[in-house]
Amino acid sequence: MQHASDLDFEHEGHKSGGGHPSVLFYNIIAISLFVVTALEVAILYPPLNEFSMFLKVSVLVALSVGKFAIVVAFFMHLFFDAPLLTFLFATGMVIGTGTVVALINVMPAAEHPLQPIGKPKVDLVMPGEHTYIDEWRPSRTV
Amino acid sequence: MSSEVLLDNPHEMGCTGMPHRKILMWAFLASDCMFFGSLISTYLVYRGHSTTHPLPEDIFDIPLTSTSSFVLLLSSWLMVLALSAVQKGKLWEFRLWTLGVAFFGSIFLGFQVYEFTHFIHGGLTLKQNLFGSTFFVLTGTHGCHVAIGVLWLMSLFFYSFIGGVTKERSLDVEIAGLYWHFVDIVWIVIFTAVYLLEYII
Repeated sequence: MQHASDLDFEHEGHKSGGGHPSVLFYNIIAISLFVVTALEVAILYPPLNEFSMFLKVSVLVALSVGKFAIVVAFFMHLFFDAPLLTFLFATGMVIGTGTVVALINVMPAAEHPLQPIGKPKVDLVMPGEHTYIDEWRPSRTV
Repeated sequence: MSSEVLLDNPHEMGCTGMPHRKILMWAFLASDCMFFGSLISTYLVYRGHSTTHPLPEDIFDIPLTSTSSFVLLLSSWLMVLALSAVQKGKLWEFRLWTLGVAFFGSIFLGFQVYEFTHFIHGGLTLKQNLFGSTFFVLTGTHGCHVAIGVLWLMSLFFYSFIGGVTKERSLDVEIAGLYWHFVDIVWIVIFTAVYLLEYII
């Protein structure tokens, strides 16, 4: 077990051993987060074309990732805390992000099993069999 | 971690040199990343598959959602101020900021209740279409997290009046703060992926 003074240092959460960031620092971070959010909303409104759509998506994702990183690093003190915590959180983040990327790629729109209303796959029904179609389920035989 | 707490609970610290509860909270947040990752990916996978109205472009209100995002960011700011205050032993300041966090968290929940009510009156229910199912599950789960956070912070607020929150036991506030900031960063992702991108792509 660590000595109490060492633990105080750990709990203070700074590699440098100094105090927590000042209130002014937190204020600056908060203002920058507000500005970024306002920027995100402002990006929506100018007219679109194909090029600007790609640009807008890229900028929005970049701003969102930036906001995410700022909150995690400074408000959650991960920047000042032990690397073990960063590793722990990064593991969850990587798996979570991987889930999003994998599912989007594994289930493309064209291969989606669900059928919209009015477009049942009647060819799946064998002669003499009855069918029912739930609104949002594949047609099935009974 | 103070020596007082260490004497009270010698098992608080392990070989990592960090409080177990803090590590546990970060592990929980990592698992919650996966949880929200699955919900967000479900929303994105089923996006555009709804053939009945209302669709997102029919009912989303970006100014309203932007305001609620600002409110949640504001609460995150007050949360770091509350933690900073309790670590300096300024208990009254801690109570003020904590009450502010809970207040703005409740305002955010109020926005969400208004939005859900507005959507339901507009014909979007959990069973109306794929958009309704995935949207309500995702944002509703986030709303539950916010509600739990508000209850947690209010319990800390009242606990501080009976000596439960002190400078020496600021870890309790830090852990609650981690949870609250996580709720904020999840909303940052939802706001972009669900609301903003809907207007572009």
